[in-house]
Amino acid sequence: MSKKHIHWLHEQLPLLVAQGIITTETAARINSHYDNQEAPSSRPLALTLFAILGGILIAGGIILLMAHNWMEFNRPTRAFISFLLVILGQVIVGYGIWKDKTSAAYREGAGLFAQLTFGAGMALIGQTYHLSDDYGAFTLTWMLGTLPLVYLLQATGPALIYLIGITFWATHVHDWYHHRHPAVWWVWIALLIPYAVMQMRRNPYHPRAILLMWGLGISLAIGTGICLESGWRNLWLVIYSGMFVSLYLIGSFWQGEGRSLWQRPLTFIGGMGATILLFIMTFDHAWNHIGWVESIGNLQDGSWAVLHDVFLACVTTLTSVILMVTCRRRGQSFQLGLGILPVVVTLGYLIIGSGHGSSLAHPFFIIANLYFLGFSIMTLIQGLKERQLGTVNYGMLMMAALILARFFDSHFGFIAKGLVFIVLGCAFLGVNFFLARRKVGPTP
Amino acid sequence: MKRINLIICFAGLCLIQLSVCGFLIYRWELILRTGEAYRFKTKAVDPYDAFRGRFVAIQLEPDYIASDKPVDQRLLVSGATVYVTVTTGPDGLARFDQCLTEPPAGKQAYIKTTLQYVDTSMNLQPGDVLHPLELAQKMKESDDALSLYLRSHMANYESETINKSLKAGVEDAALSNTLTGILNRMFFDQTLARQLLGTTKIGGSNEHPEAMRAEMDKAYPGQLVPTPRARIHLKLPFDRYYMEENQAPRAEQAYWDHSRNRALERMTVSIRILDGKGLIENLWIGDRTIGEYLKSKEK
Repeated sequence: MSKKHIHWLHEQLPLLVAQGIITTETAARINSHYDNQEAPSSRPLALTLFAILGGILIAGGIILLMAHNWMEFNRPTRAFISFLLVILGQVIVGYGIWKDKTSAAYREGAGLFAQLTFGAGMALIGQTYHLSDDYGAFTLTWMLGTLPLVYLLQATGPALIYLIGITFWATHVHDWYHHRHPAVWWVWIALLIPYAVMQMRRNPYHPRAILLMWGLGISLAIGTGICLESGWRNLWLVIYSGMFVSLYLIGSFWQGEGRSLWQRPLTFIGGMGATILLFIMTFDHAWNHIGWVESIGNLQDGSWAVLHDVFLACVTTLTSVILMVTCRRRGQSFQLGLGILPVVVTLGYLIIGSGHGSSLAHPFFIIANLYFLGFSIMTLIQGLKERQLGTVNYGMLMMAALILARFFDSHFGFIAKGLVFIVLGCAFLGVNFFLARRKVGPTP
Repeated sequence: MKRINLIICFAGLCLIQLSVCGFLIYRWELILRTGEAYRFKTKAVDPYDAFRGRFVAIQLEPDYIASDKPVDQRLLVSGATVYVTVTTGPDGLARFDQCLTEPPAGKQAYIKTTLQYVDTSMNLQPGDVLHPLELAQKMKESDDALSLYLRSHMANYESETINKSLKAGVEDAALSNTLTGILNRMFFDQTLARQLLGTTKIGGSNEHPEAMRAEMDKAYPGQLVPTPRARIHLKLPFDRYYMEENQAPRAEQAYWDHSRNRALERMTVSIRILDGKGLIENLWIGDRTIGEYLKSKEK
């Protein structure tokens, strides 16, 4: 228990005694119980943080010294320094492995240092031979060449740098104009999944696992978009809804007990992403620009890259459906509210996009609005039920966004909008009245 | 993982990392030691790279191939891998010659690179003026209708640049730029077209500059690269020369000094080429490397 909570308890106990809820002895026993409890030491965390900062700063300093580009050094000297830098990192990691150093501080610090010195060594080679703008190849070689450090040292720092590196690589290699889509990015990210699973199984609430999940979630949210071929109009809606909902459900299975949002990274990223996506779908242009029939033409032209998006859409939707079924079996009904989003989107995409039912775009637009409204009410009720102010605010925020968006929406007539607003307002007041009566109603 | 396995895996990783560095060094060193040397004219500016420090950005002149034949744009699409042959001109400077979709047969030096785009507009580029001084002289002295028109429509600064170059007798980028600027303006000038060609002669928007171009070739024969139908722009694999952080801005300054002052030597870059790969060897000002030049300036 944190110091803040113990302090609150100390304040509450005399009040509870005064009200006769607990006896003085019980209060004394509770007091002594928490007083004797030793506060968890922050020393190991501080040591790890300082080791990480030390490793990054020293390696960063070395990179900057090399970037000065000493004209006095000839090519053999530069080659020697490149090797020396790489070996320096290896020696520091090797010493830890040899001496069986298991402290997180050593593993994280040494891992980051070795990762950066390998990059510095390669950068020096690039500098020596005046290699042109080859960031893509440079970053990928650097990241893949240091990925094993993550597994050997069980270090999350290098894993986070790896995620940043491969995502940067994808943005660099991606070329929409020339149809270059770095689909192989999925392989690079998959290389880190076994480590992520290991950490989650060990302790999903350890800072190491939490940080990793933040990195993984953000990388997936950015990288998926970069890797899309985009030949299928608005197929990204299906892919992203499947992916965000999958992240949301995985997060609620694995880190659902997290005390704060910080401890539930996947739930936060997935939930937030899916909500924003659903909000986008409450606008009619999201549905009006769907068309998969035209994209079949791309296959006839031999552009098989478009299959990447279809494959991804199938995988993300299927994953989300499997997770949803599991969710239902576990009785997590609230999660189902957002969980059915990929099914709705996929159905809409298939029906509207077939070209025969483009007139169905409008009904789906209405369905999306009702869904968003229903989900925001559900969130609000869940928040009230569990007395979680954050969830209540989230539900209110969603509803406010929807009301604002539809208030200024020019696609509906003023009369229709006005009537719906009045009916909804009456419904809320009715519920309010009903709840108030039930609470203060005559006691039997 | 058992400790012994951990040590074996780590030893494997060390070997891989060192081999990567070793392979990179070997690959580039081989080109520098055995590649054929070519000298290209270049421009230079001074940017920055957080990892590798400050460098002089190199832009070869010209960095495209002017083709007098129509280009098959189905083969030469933007982003395609192309093989560019390199030849040395009578001035001792290297130029890109042909853009091929397969490596050239025989021992001709070539660079494997990426095609950026093919420009089929009729706009002139500085490299299209073959003899800038001669053209400038004719433009100033001839009494044909075109020269008279050009002289009367020349801006003061353009006139000044041409006069300075003629006085110094040195061809440089400033002169080529000015001449192409004047000629391009002329190509698209409707009034002049009416004067020289008569409106009835001109059809679509592409025919106008083409007809003007023919008129221009008549007035100044042999001054321009034969009517380029296309200009193939390339993404060249050498665009930076790394330098000590305080030297790079000085190198850029040296370039500007030399491009402004016509009496000074020009900046070139030597590139070693081997099996389709090119690597920058050195940056030169006249016959001195940039390092030697900057050192001599310090004294």
